[in-house]
Amino acid sequence: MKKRFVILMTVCAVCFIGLSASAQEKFKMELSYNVSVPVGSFKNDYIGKTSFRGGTGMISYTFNPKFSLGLSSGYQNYYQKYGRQLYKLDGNQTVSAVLTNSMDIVPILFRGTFYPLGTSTSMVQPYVSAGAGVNLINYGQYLGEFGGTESSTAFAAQAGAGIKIPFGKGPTQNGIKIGATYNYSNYNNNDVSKLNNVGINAGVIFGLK
Amino acid sequence: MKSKNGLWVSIMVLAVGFTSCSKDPLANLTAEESRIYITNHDSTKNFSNYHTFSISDSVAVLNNGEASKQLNQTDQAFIDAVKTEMQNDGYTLVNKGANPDLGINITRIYNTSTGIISYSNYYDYYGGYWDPYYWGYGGYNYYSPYSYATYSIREGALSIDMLNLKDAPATNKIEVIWNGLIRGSGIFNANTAADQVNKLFTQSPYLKSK
Repeated sequence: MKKRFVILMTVCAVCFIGLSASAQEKFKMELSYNVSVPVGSFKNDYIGKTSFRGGTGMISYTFNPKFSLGLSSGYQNYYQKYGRQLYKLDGNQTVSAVLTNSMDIVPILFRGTFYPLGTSTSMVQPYVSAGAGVNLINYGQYLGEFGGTESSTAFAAQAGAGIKIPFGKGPTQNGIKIGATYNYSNYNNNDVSKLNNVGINAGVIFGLK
Repeated sequence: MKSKNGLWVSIMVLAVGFTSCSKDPLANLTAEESRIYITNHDSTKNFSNYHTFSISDSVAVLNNGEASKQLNQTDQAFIDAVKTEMQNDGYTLVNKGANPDLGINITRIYNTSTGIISYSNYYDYYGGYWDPYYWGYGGYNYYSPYSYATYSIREGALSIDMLNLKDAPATNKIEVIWNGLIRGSGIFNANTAADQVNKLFTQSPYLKSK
């Protein structure tokens, strides 16, 4: 835990120094719609359904045409209802219930993006990205209408790749982007270990003055 | 300045948009899906050793700790449904004066004051609303080994208790050997009573007279 905190703070500091050192440089913002597919224990032990309810926003600072670093956040809601089934409880108790699982994840990540083509005016510009931070997690489970939610935080990391299609000619921050991410999230509660998922996103990028 | 405002507005709109499209687990349940059916039994008892049963002719209603006996159309539907299920499992319905092996009490529980119910709370005063004398054992105490986890309550609960009358003279107590508890929305409905009771008996395959 301590190690993670130190890494986070370092990234924070680097980011802040970068920002204050060259305030005239351009900031940019990305907004995207996100579809998320749970994998591993998240899928097998909790929610198998793909989530179509999510989005991401990021404000980043462009160090040079190839590299930018920013703060990313968003929201993703997972939900699955399982038909009526029997569950064994303590002792000789048996309960017949419709089980509902839900999960809200709000990631807060520092994310770096690398554009290998840099200032090229190419129509299609590939990028790769990597990020790390925390996930704010809201776990919900209901037997029938009885149950509740439980909030926690966990370490999160992300790797992504995609393409940006700039608007107009010449080097510009503005454009649309399509990409995919692999999201790792540490979590070990309520029979679920890890909240890993694959995200597919599409959105816009625009420069901020 | 203008573009900054526009930016904040768009962030706010997105944030609200994202959170409002999440699925509310409770809003996505029908009344049928909201209900849970919990059964509990004394695993040391062999239910095929019992052959006859009797069921009380009314339902005890616990409303925030106050008990009364009632019999409306819904109560009758639950009593009839339990009779049918017991007979399907091979038990013979007899008059309560004819020394039945099993007695069955049905209780409606409303509890809006605390919002919480546990079986042990409900059971502590059992003798108060189900007088042991009704079953011919005046002076005996009821005994139940169960304790349920607590669930927050919205509408009410219906509890069906099966009493071991056969061994009451020998043990000097009236043991609860099976309990079925129904929780959720729209429980007290004469049209669905049979289906609800059926679920309790279906998940209790050990209830067989032979």
